[in-house]
Amino acid sequence: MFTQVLWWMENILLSYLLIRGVQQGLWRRYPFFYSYIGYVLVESLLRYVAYMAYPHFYRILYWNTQLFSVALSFFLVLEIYNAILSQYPGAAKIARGGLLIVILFALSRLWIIKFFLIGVDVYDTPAMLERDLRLAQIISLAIILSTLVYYRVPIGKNTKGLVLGYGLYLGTAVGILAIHAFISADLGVWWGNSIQIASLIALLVWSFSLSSYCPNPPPPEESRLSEHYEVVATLTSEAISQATRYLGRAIRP
Amino acid sequence: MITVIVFVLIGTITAAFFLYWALNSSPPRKSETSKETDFRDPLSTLSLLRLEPLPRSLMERVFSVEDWEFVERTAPKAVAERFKSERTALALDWITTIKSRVVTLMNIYRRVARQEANLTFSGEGMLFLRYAGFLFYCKVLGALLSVLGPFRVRQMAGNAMAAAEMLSDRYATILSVVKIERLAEFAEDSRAS
Repeated sequence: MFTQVLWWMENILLSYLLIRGVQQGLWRRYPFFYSYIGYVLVESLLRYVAYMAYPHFYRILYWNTQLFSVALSFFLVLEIYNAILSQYPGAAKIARGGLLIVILFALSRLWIIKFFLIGVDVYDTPAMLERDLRLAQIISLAIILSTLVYYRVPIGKNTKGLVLGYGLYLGTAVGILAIHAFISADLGVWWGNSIQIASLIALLVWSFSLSSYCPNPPPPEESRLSEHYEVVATLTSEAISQATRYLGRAIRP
Repeated sequence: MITVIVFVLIGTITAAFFLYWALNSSPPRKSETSKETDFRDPLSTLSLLRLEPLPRSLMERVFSVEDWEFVERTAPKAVAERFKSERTALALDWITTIKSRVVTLMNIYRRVARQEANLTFSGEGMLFLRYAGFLFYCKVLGALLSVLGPFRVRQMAGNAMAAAEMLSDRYATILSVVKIERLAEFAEDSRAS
């Protein structure tokens, strides 16, 4: 009964998000996000049909659709990156550098596994694979958020909701997936319920923050800094170094 | 089992981090001071940013070692202790002042750098490390001052003043290349933070 309630709530919120997105024209501004939401709704209905009519087929369907959903959600991270940093080329460049490091790290890890751990099945269960992919998303999102905070990039309600909802979902999902991968249990009731509760939290945040269009504040007009960037960067760097040195001398008796 | 604990911890920290950020990030504000203040005057701008140059003569007197020696020689122990603790508080204030100047300088820098496509990843990384090192240094120095007292670190006043003057000079240079209309926004942000 509880599972049914969660399932219906999830579908109602997904439908609400899609309807509001179309009504408010938000789907044009966040196409990847609404494609993802649309896919999750279709996936949820498909799973329900499979669960009721073909229970043996459910597990296969679940993991295949789920891993596709995870792959699709990388575009959601890209959407968040674009929504936050597209108007701030400097901050975007730094975030790209950080993301590149994450990608290189992930690829080198795969390379090490492929060439040095031949014959070792690293991912015993699909839950482990999903857990690691979600972890990569957490790191990517953390880099974007850190850049946003460091450079004090102002954002609107829509973007803030996107980040918060997905961040909460990823945090909860990684914990649940780790537990699931460890106990290697079949898809029991606790599993379905816990994942659905994580989804519901994200959907509630998104439903609230994406009920209408609230754009990011426009970036201030171009400063003259571009002409003197290197000078200002050097001055700032020197100023901090000198302040440190001055304070350093102070501790000498 | 360790892997599970690590991932559950990562998940919990992630959720807490995003929630904390959402609850503590202030909504964007519209600058209202730009119409009221003339930001073409560097001194009034520095004053608004609480960066006005500090009077050297005043601080030399406040940190005078002669004063301490005189009080230690002539006053009762309780008075001398009180004198020392107040000097320590002043010294700590100096660190806070210098720290807040560097923080403001960085705030201005970051706000203009975020739109600068020519910045380099390595350059920003170095600057960030320097900044983080400076903040850490301030913490260590503050702790040393609290433990040892200001007279063990008696060069403090002179160095702090030199640092303050140097930073004011840097501000003036940086402000001269930042578009003047945007100072109102910086000032408001600086006061809010």
